[in-house]
Amino acid sequence: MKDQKEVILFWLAASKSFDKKLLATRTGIHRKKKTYLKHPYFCLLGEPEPIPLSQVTTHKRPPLPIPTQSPLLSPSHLLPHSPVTAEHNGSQRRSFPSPACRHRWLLCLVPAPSVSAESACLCFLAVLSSVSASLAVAVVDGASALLAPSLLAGGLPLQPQPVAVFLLLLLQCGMATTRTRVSSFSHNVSSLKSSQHPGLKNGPNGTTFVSSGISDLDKILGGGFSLGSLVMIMEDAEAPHHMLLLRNFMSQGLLHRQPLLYASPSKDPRAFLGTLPSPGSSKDDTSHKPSHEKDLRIAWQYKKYFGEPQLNINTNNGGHHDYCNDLDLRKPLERHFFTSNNVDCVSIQNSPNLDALKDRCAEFLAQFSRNEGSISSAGRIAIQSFCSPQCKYSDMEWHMLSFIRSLKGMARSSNVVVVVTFPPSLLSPSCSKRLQHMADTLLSVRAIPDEDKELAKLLTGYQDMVGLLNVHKVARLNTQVPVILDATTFSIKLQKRRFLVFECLNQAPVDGSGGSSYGNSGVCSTSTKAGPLDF
Amino acid sequence: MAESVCRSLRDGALEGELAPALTIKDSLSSPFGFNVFSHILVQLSSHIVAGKSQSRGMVIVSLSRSPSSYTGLLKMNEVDVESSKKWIHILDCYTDPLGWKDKTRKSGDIMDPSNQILSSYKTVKDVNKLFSVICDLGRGLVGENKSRFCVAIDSLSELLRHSSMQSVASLLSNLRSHDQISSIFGLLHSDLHEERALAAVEYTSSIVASVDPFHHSVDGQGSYIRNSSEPNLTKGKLNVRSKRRNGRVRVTCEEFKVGPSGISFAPVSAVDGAAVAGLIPKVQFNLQLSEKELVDRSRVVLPFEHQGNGKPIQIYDGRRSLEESNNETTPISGGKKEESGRGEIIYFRDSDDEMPDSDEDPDDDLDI
Repeated sequence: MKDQKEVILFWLAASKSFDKKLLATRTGIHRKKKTYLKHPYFCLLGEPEPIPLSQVTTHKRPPLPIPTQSPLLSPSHLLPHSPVTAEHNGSQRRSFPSPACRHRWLLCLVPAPSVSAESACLCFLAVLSSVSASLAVAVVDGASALLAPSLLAGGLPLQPQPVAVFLLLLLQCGMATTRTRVSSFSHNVSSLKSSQHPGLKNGPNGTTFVSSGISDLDKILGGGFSLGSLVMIMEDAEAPHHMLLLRNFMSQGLLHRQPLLYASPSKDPRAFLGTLPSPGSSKDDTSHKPSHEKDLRIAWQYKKYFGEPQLNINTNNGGHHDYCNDLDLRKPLERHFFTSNNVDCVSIQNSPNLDALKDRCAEFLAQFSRNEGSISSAGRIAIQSFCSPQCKYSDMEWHMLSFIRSLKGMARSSNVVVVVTFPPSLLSPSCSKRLQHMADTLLSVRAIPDEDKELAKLLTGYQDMVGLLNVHKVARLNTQVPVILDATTFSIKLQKRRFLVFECLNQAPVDGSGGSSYGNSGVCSTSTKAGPLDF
Repeated sequence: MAESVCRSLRDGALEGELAPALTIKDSLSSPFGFNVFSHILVQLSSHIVAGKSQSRGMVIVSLSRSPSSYTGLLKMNEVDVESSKKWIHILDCYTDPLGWKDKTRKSGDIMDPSNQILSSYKTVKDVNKLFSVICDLGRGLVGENKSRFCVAIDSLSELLRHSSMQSVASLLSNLRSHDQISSIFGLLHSDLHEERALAAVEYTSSIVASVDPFHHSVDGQGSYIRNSSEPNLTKGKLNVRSKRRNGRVRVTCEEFKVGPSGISFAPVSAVDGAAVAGLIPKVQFNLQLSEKELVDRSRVVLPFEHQGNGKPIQIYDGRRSLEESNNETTPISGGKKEESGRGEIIYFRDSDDEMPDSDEDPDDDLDI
């Protein structure tokens, strides 16, 4: 099919530094920064001057077979079962380097590390490869995702719908927008502007953190929740600990004047705002953190000659200027924080599907779209009990999955953190696995049995524990180096019944008198049965 | 413990919290769910009549048994049925749940004799209407003020059969969050439903009591053979998981025995099976200090730390103490010893440019 229009599919995903005028110049792509190449799964296909694949780093997949005779990597190499015929292969190769060819296509694929995204991309490739006139243009960019179908409809002889669907899926595969950097190995964020907002903190690789409201959780996650990430918390059907996490998250956002969108399956979500915690009073702080001694206590015989050491001045000058406040769960947040316009509550109980929620989220996220400049403000979205059984859509699993997928894609290009809690036991195993894979940061809370003598013998501080927190995945945007924590299970404690603390699990001193306890602790390394504490 | 379950249902809901909801789960291998249900019903009724419970009335939604069986049950257990119109109301969804009799009735209205504690309900499929009818009945019983009533749903399985899981779950959660409802309990047959429906009902309820066969064996095949050879028709185990307010789960187990007079509960006789298994592989030793330990640590006086505590620092350096040498303007050139009167070594320095402390015993400086 000879279509005169030359249409280029191009994905402005990997680097915001890609100029729109690249589209005009065919060879311009090489002059731009090759940061996108460092992204995994990046394949540049159908290019006038090919970029050798050796520059591409793949992380999880085995290395793609590089055809030696032709620099073009045809999509058939990627597809395990693509029905591409030989002549079709040949026609693509023929069409590749000649500048006179009208059927040029350029495909940049940057899928996110999630299983279903890959399959979507592969399907898209299958579609493209089976089309002889392989023409597709989409300027696929987070904010202007809607351009794609309209452009496509004009350009392609195909039905726009399936390809548009694939394109939409592609663009929702998560676009890591990086800041302009000289090389990909710069670990220090050199263009460090000390953030003008106390609620934001610069993180590695050009990301920005917001606090989760719990200082221990911030420490575990390496700074907080990254802006643009999707945090999913798996609930336990028997314990309401996810509400504690959500409360702290929402309250911290309100304290930093970050707008909040809250959705819950109850009839009156606004009522939940009354239970948000407030920062603890400052006189509690000094007793709360006694271990922050700056200097070691050294017994030095000549210390007396050097006068008195300076007293550490406590720089904790009031709750509102801290990155993370100590939130007192017993003290409700002052009303003026959430009666202002920056809190929006949605009830998802009666809506037959998630489209209304998606629209609300889209308009919320549109206020915070990311651009090259500094971050003016950040927002937070909290969705509680996303698939609880009283919602009418709770058996429409693919609908829920696609909602989360689109939410993740919209969030990735904006300065918002999205926290979603869901009970995995109420979903089919495949759906819950998919949701878990979609998360950037995955946490789960679990209940512990009450008055369990075995547990009390095994762990210190069992009396104060209310539950367990597992950290399954920590978001790392713009990098492929994963975070490996040395401990992934933490106990949730309420210090003085007010402050939420996460602590590492500590073994109780082994009782020397009872001979059987050693036998029990010998089971430590070989967990034969999957008990409630199976990590 | 069945007693604690009854007690928590009796105490009901606190202000601003969801009402406790009990789900009794049984299965074919031990089909005593209704016995447990009726036991709890009777207990709660007696509490209501005696005025000991938070709820002042009870609404029974009877789907799987006829309403007269409930009145018979109450009479048998000597609960005061005479005054029953004041505190109990039975919603009859048993005789004609889908309204077929109305459709097939051609002429004449054979109305049931108006029974004051009975009202019939014809559209089980409409769960919203069921909710509103329950609320109206309950309000009719206890009045518009703050008093509460409790709801007993005879068979959630029947309800799940007629309508979808979402609507039943929303009914339960709406009931729980209703201001005037103090507690809910319902019966469910676990082998009639899918996993997800069971999980959804368990999710929305706060106490789950599962009626299990007496010998709970690990091997599935073995249990079938064993059960068929010695069917235990009278005994069983009641495993209760109740969600406490602080987030912990209380797990209790009890044996029960069903007899002609009813059901009786007894604590578990023998410790059966393993308790907590799967111990933690990566438990660390506690390297943190508790607050008391920190305070104690800060109180320990280290060797040199009591210097300058008010007393002048006594350093025996053979010449003078530091304060005295500071007071002087001229530097100490020669060695001079204090007279003390006892046998001492008198030492005169050889030269002035010797390092002052080089020939001293360095340990003289110690001020431990």
